Amino acid sequence: MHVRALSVAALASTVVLAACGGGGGTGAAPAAPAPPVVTAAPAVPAATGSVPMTITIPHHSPSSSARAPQFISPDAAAMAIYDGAALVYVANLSLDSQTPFATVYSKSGSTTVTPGTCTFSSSTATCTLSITATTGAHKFDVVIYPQAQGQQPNSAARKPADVGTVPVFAGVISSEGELSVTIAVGTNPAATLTLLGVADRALFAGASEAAYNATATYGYRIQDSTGVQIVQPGTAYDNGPVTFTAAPAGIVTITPSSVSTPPASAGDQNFNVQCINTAGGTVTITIGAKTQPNTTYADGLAYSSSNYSSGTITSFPFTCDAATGTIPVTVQGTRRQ
Amino acid sequence: MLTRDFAAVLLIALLAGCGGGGGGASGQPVAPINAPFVPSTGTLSIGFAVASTASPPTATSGPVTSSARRAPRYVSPGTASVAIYDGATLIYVANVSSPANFTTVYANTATTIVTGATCTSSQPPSCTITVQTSLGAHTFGFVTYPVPQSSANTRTPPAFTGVILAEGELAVTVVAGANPAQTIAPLGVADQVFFSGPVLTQRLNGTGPLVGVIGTTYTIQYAVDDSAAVPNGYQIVLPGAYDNGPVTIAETDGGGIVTMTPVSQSSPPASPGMQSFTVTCAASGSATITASAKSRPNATYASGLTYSSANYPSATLGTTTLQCVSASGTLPITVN
Repeated sequence: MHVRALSVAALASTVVLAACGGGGGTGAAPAAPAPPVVTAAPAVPAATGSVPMTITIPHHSPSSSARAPQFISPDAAAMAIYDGAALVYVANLSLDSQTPFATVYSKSGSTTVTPGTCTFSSSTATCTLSITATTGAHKFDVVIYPQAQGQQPNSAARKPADVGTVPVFAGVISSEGELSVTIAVGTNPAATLTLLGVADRALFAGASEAAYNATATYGYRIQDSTGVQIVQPGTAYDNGPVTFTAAPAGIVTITPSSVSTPPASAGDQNFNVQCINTAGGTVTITIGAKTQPNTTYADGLAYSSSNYSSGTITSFPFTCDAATGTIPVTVQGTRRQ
Repeated sequence: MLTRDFAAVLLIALLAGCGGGGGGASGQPVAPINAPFVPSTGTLSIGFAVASTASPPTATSGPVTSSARRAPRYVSPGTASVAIYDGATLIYVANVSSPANFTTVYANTATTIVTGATCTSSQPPSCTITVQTSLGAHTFGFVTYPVPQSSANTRTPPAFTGVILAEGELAVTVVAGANPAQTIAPLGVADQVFFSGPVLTQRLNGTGPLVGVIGTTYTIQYAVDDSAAVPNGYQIVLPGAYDNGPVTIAETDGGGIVTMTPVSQSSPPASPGMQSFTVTCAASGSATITASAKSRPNATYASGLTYSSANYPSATLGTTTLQCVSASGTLPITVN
C-alpha cells in the first residue's frame, strides 16, 4: 500500500485540506499539482467531534514538482521496448534533457530502436522514437519505470553485437502500452502509442467521521508509481477500474464505487461516503485496483508486487456516528420542606 | 491496325513449259528435226504464310496483357507489304490487304518476273507468288513490312518505310519447267520485348510504389514481339530463329540490385504465351532489366539491304525496372 501521507483534521464535520509540497516551477513549466481538495461538505448534525487533518505531499525536486502530471510521467526514469516478447531496447530517461534517452540496452537483430526526442508542454509530455523491424505484423510494447535501470555485468541473453546488457528491471511499472501494427517496407506512417497509467498510489483528503445519513466527500488523485497523477490521453487505467470499497459492509455506501477513466487533466476527483447504519460504526475504506493489467500484452511480462501495483492503493478508517445518543441529564430540584 | 491473316505461303516454282515440234510427213522431204525446245526460264512459286489473328488466348498464369493473349504467329499478321528479291535485285513489292489480297506496288520486268500472286480464302489464308526466272542458282529474298509501301507506279521501286517484320531467303536452283514447290520460313525480327510483372505486394512507405524485398525471388514474364503496327506488336514464335537473335535479358544498371541468370534466347517459343525468368532482390535500389538483340540480322542476305534504325530495330528492345528495398520498415512512433 502506498499512502503518501495522511492526517486529517475535521472541523465541525467539515474538512479542510492542508495543502503543501510542490517545488517551484520555472516560467515554462506547468504549475505544481495542488493536493486534493474536498468539495463543499454536506451539513452534518451538530455535536460531532472535530478531527484535525493534514496531508503531506512528498517533496519533489523543484523541477520535477513543477511539471504537470501527464503520461508519459514526467518522472519516468526508464523505458523498455519489446517486439512481441523480445526485449529490444532499454533506455534511462531524462525527458527534459537535450538527450532524453540514455541507452542501457539495444538488442542487435532485425528490430532496432532509434531514440528521438521528448517535448513538453503545459499538459503533455511526448517522446518520439523510430522502430525498424521486418515487414509484417508486430506488437510493440512500451513499459515505463520510475527508476533508472542499471547495467548487468553478465547477461546470458546478450549477444556480442548488442549494445549494453539486459538489465534486471527494478521498480513498479508506472505505465505501459502496446501498439499493433503491420510494418511495410520503407518509412511507415507515423503511429501514436498512448500508454496506460498503472494505478499504484493515491492522494486523498476528507473527513474521517460523519453522522448518520450524512455524506462525507473525499477528494482524491490516482497516481502511478512515480507519484504523478494519472491523466488522459490514456482513457483507462492499465489495472483499472479503480475501486472504492468499505469493510465491514452495511455501514456506509460509497459513490461512485469505481472509476475506469482517468481525468482529462490534472486535478481532484471525488467520491462520497454516506453513513447508512443508525448504529454507526467504523469501516476501512480501501482504494484498490488490479494487480495486473487488463490487457494481455505481447511482452509476456510476469507481474508481481515487485514490478506492479499491489492492488491495494490505500486504505483508511472512517467512522459513522450512531443515530441516537445517550445524554446524561441531571435535574436539580428543591425538596419541599 | 494492320491485322491481316495469312496462311503459309508455298513458294512453288512453276515451270512455264511450252513448245514441241510437229512430225514430218511421209514421202516428203524430211525436214530436219529440230532440237528439242528447252525453255530458258523456269517458274517458281514463292509461298508465305501469315497465321490467323484469331488464335485463342492461352491460359497463361500471371498478369498477361493483350499482347500476350494475341496468338503468336509467323509470318506476322501485321504484315502490310511484301518485298521479293532475286539476289540483290528487287523483283516485286506488293501491299497485302485484308482479306489477303495482293496489290502490286512494284514489279520488275527484267529477267525475273512475278507472274502471279494469290491467296486462298481459307483461314488462315495461304498465299502464293509465282516467279518466272532464268535457269540456274537463285537466292530469293523475302522481306515483310508492317506498313504499306507506295511508289509512283509499278515500274518504280518504292522507298521502303517501316521496320522489317521478318525476312528470309531461299536458295534454289531453278530448272526448266515446273520447279518443286518451295516454302520459305522467314525469321522474325525481334523489335520489342513486352514485360509483365512481377507480382509485388509490398508498397514502399505504406502507400508508395510497389517494390520488391531483398531476399525475395520474383518472376517476370516477357514476350518478344515484332514491329507490327499494333500495341506491343505480335509475339514471334517458331518456326525460325530470331533474325537478330539471340534476344538477351539482363540487369544493366550495374548496381547488382538483383541476381538473375541472364536470358539468351535464340529461338522463339514454339507456341503462344508469355515466357518468364526470375530475379532475386539482392540490394536496395532500382534494377533496370534490359532486353537486347542485334541491330542487324545474323545472316548476310543476298538482298544486300542496308540496315538502319529506319528499317531495323535498335539494340535495346525494352526495359523494365524493379525497385528493391530492405525487408524491414521503419515506424515512427510518438509515445505519450
